Amino acid sequence: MSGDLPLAALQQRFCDWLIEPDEDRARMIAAPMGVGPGLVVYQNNYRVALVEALREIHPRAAAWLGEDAFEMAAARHIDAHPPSNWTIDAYGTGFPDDLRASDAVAADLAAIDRAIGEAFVAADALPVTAAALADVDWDTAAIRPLPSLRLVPIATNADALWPALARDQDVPQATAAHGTVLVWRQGFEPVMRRADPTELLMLERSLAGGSFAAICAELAAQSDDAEAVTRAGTVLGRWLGESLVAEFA
Amino acid sequence: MTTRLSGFGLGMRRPHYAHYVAGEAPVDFVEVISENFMVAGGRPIDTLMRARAHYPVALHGVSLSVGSAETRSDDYLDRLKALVDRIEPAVVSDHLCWTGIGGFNSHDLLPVPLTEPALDIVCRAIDRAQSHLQRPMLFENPSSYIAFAGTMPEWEFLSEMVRRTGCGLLLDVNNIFVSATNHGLDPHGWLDGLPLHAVGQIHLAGHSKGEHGLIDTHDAPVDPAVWALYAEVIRRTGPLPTMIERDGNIPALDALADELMLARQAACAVVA
Repeated sequence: MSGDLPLAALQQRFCDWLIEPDEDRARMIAAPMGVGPGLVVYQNNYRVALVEALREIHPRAAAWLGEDAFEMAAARHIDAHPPSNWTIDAYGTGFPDDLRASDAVAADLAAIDRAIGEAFVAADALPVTAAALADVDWDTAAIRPLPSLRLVPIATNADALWPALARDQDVPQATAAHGTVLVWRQGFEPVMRRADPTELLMLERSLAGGSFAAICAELAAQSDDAEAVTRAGTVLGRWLGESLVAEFA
Repeated sequence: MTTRLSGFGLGMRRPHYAHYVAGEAPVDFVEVISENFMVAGGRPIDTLMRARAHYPVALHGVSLSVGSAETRSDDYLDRLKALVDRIEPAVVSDHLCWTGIGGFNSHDLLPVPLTEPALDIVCRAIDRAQSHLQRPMLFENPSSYIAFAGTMPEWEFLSEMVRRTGCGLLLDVNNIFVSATNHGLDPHGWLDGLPLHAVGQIHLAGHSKGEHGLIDTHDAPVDPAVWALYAEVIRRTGPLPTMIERDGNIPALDALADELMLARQAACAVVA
């Protein structure tokens, strides 16, 4: 191999230098390989591609932060989290968490950005309609949401800011507003809205495989049987109208 | 049904998707980045299927990493195979490069030291990929910004790679120009050693001048010197499926179609 360095060792040195560039590492690569100043082109390509990927995956967070703050946040993330997936579209899973310490709104926007991107390419599934309810065995049936559904916990009103940033409109005042945003896909279009506490409980139980009857029983323990069934039925009706349910299993 | 690639095409990029879906793009084929469509579902797959109804498709990958000392995961090859089965592309290609090692993936096309041990690794990886996909692939000559000591010329490496694996070449004429210029070699002389009989597709693209030489940026029109080199290639090979890659400063589709006309004219001149 070049300079009698086995390929695996040479490639490991090269990657170490991409991740943590400094003159000593560059010399360690360049000396056994006999390479010239063009080495720096690879360093630049590596970082530019990752910054652009983070921007493309988190466009509203980038818009909220502004160019300089976003690039600084991206650079910190790239230094701390070298990419490992074969697809660059998966890069930056921890980027929203990285932002949280300095800017909770940016962190929430990034988490929504990311969920919308994931929903955009999630597996296809035809939503069931209200007509399917007639054949459901309600003693055992469990609700299976669409594969595109994502639950995004947030600490701010980023769900109200996101559409304004997407449409380049006046952005509302940012405030603290803990909750969970539902993101899923209607046809090919990702949609989102904030979940209310009842449906959040129902979704969490459904995603864990719990039956509709068990969910009603849990809600009944909080109120009474009739009200629980009414509340659960109302939520289910809303989900069917919003094309959020894939099947009753 | 798989279709043969012929004529003149463009890299299908997002700003022009509507034209391809409607069958309104003046091209004979399209090429897409495989990884952008190795997804579970949603609009990307639908867009590609709709374009596929109008044009033969070439799948061009960036992550196979045949030059890595580590073997690419079955998961990657399984996903690529699923896309190939779904799209039935005319061509499946990737690059002579590596992208990472030790769980790290740079998402850049990194340079392979052109040595005998590396050739063994590359050929094993190509054999494995072609076996997995049950079809021959094309591999693209890279742009290089460094030259390793004690290595063979790229054309020699590519010739042996083609001979051992039965793969074809995706000849990127701009990459030859960029690499030859960066290494102080004659790009026309570079052609002399290449296995031109194995070329199944040609790429053209623009480059830019950086601090340390030319850089393959795909963000500008094809350079006149690259057009001259392309004319020399097809003078030697005859007309081959040819396309322009444009990934930055993407102009209107009409402007790219006009640029592609230069390739058509060059091919006509050779035939005449």
